[in-house]
Amino acid sequence: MMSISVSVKRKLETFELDVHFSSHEKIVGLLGASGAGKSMLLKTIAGIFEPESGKIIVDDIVYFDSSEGISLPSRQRKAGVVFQHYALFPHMTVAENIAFSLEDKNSKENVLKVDQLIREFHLELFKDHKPSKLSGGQQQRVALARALAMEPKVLLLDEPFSALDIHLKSQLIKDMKNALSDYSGHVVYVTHNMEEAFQLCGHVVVLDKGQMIASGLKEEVFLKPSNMQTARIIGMKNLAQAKLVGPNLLMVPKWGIMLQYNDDVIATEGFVGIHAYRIKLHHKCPSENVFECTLVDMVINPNVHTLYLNFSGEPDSVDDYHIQMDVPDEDAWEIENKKTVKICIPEEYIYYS
Amino acid sequence: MDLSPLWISLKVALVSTIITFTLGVLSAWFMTNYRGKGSALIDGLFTLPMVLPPTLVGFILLYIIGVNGPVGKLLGLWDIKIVFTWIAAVLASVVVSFPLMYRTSRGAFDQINMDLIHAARTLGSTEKEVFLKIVLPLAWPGVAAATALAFSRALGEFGATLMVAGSIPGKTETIPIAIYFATQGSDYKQAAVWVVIVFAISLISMMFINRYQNKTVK
Repeated sequence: MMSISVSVKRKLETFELDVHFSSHEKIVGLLGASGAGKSMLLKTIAGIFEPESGKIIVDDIVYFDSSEGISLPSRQRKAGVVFQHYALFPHMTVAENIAFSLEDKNSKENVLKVDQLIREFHLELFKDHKPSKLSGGQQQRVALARALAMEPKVLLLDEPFSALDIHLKSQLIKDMKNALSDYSGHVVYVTHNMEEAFQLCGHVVVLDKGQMIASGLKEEVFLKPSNMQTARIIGMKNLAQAKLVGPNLLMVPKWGIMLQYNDDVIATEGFVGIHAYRIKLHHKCPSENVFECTLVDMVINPNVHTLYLNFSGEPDSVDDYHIQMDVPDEDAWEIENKKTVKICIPEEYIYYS
Repeated sequence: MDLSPLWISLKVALVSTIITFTLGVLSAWFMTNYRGKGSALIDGLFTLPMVLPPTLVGFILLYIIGVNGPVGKLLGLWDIKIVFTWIAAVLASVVVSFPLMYRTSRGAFDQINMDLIHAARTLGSTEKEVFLKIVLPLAWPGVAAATALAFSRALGEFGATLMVAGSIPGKTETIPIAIYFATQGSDYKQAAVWVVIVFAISLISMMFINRYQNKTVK
């Protein structure tokens, strides 16, 4: 059974990297805001940086174990890295880049292997070009092919889509999924985008300022975040401390409201989280959680209007809001020229933990 | 006209450039990666001969390789004497041209994207392979420029060479030394010929640098 287990500690300039997770899932996502230490952790697994203490074990191979004094050099780890800006060798052609890790580049077997990767990643037309002549998406494919050529034990992807245009992304994520389905090793995937993490990963590790704040199967982490930072990173926009004050009745002091909810969590204190797109205009859903809110600010996005609302009277400034909600374009006429908005919060979409 | 100063100069400059290239490139790469103590001190020592008076370099070299110096004595055991031979001229040229090779190469190495080096290591390269397949090719325009500079500097070396190798015609008399003694002897015509020759060789190597730097690896 495949397994990856990472436990590292390392002091950095502004924070300490402190992460402990293990997973049997094929694809592990490292999720966190930029500067949370995700790339650093990835490079630590690859052996580019060394932690002060800890253990890194991939399947049965010990990459690093401070208590045993083991630290396998990068070149022996068989960890294929796709760097954020791909790090293709600029003085070599696409084919030479892909063949870089192969010992005997002219052996029949290896020539066939490189040819096959070139075909698989649709690079036939560019194989004799230098990487600088390629588009971002093509460079990414070369980087992935180069890493896969050495048949890595673990494939480490550092924000592979961050340098690409948005319109390319959905296609490339599909391509990436296909490419990874043929690969039998582990994948560790760094991203700050929770949608990517959800689409590609089985296990998700959430980092915040070097600290691991959540780790588990993606469904657990995304649907049941255990703390407010995790909830924020997975995209819950509306978060506040809350208290259970009666059967299925929550008090939210910060917002000055009571909320009905129908989950069975009975912790007396915790937090509520509500996705912005779950809040509706009051006549769009049957719920007892109906509130008249002051409209503080509004931002118009391509498909939705984002409203910033305050539960109590006059706001001091545009930043004095309690919650935000997304109203689809076709309903936007209903709030035109209004100072207050009547909303409802469906019980089933109130998350309390 | 006796052309021996030209051949001696070229021989000394070529041999010293080969030595300087090897030492300069290796120490530049070593220092680029060196994270230990005293790196500023070592870096300073490597660069120092560039700004020291050549006579000072000559004095120190003479002290080390002279018949009574530590290296001179050791070599004396095998009846080898290098002061006042062309080998001493090579040593003098190596010392004065080394800082140019070292500094310029280091500048080129510092420009290399570290992720390329990390990538090569994760793809299974040994440190030697990283250096030969990635670092040197990528830094090549800078390293080539450094080599041309070091060659020109070796070709123009005068003070230290005169002190350790003397000016034995046909043996250690290089072009700069020939110019000096021709001028001293008021043979301005002879001096002018050598001036033109050195001028031409140095200009060609400087043009070589320009061509190389415009042709950076894309």
